[in-house]
Amino acid sequence: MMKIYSSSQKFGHKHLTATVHNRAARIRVGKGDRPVTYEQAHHPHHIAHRKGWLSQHTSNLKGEDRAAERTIEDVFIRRFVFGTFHGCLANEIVIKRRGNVLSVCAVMLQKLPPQKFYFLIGYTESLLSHFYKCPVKLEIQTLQDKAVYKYL
Amino acid sequence: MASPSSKAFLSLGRIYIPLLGFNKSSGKVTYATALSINSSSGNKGLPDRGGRGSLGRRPRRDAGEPRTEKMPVDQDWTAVYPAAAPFRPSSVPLPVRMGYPVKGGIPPEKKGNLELIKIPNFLHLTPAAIKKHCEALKPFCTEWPSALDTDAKCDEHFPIKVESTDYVSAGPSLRNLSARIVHLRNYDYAMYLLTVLYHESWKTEAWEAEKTVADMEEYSWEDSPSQKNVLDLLLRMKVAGEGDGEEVRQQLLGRREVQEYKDSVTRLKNEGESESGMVQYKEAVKKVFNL
Repeated sequence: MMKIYSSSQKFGHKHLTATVHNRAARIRVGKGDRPVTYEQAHHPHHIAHRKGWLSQHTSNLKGEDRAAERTIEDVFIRRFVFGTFHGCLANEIVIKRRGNVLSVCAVMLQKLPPQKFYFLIGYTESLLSHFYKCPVKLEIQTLQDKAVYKYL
Repeated sequence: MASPSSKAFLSLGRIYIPLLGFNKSSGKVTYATALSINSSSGNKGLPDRGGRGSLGRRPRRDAGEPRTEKMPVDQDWTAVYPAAAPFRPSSVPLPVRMGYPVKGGIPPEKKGNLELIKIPNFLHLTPAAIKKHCEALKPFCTEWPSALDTDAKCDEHFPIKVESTDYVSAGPSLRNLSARIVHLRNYDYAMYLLTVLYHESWKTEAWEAEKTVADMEEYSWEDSPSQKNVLDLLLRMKVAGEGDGEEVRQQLLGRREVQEYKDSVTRLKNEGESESGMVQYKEAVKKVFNL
């Protein structure tokens, strides 16, 4: 963790404050050989300006509740899909809820033969449907390689 | 897998992925559109050899061309997007780009673009699709009666309104808890009650004829002490001239100040005291006294 000491003038006094710059969800600029996706390249303060939301549900509207439960579900689903399709995910997972259907959209790399893909998709869908007691649909797209936005 | 099957799918010229023991036709439609075009299929003829063969020698079929290449211009779009679905770059034949461009560059293309998947799309609600929906619903609808063209007419003929609330909610459960909070009303019973009350209100009982002034719900100015007082006052002020008779009283009643006084007193009595009511009364009284 880098600590930068800077002096700030307040009310005529000189204070030494320790500022710690944000490290959340940021890939720092490096040599220029590391490919990053659009999602990774933009920092969290760009959400709603240059990035959309990875998860959509109605619980954050006025008068609606159960936002925390939806968030927990989202976290679990992300880890589950990441582990099930290990090494195949090209980008983050997008979770959409339409009514009581949970739609998980993922972009994958063509690392596995399609039979295995089909099996894993069916396995994920049935397991998550039984777990959450609601229809879970997995919508997969595949790519040859990750979509690189820039090199950092 | 036996070699005849591998020959079969090569000759058919389609990407046809034989599945071990799986029923091919059951519910795989969504996968077929998304996966079968873009993904590669291993050579099913020799699965074992492929993985453990010599380095790099993993025969691999390339992904076929995306569906967009094969779409005719006048295709039925409702077949491509029959229901709400995420954006599939290989199914949408539009060269869309989305995202913040790199410096000196352009927005990223649609292939592998997560931003396009994140946003909700209405590709399943094109005008053609909506027309189809309407056509499907038509047999269940009747014409709106042409006589009911204004809100006022609707209120006049159908004064009873039933309110229902719809909720937008997404979660595992089908039920929305706020739907349990209702204004307690049994629709049928309410209809029955209203009908009974309506009929009852028309019947007049014999004892209703014995209604006295004290029973009245509303204050009426005619034949009230206020009317008598004001008329006596005016007579004493000799506004009308001479005489005290019925016609003089009638004539006084018709005068504008008296009418205004009547309105203000009626208003005060019926609606209770209020700022504007008192102001109106004051004005009326001043006019009666010619101040």
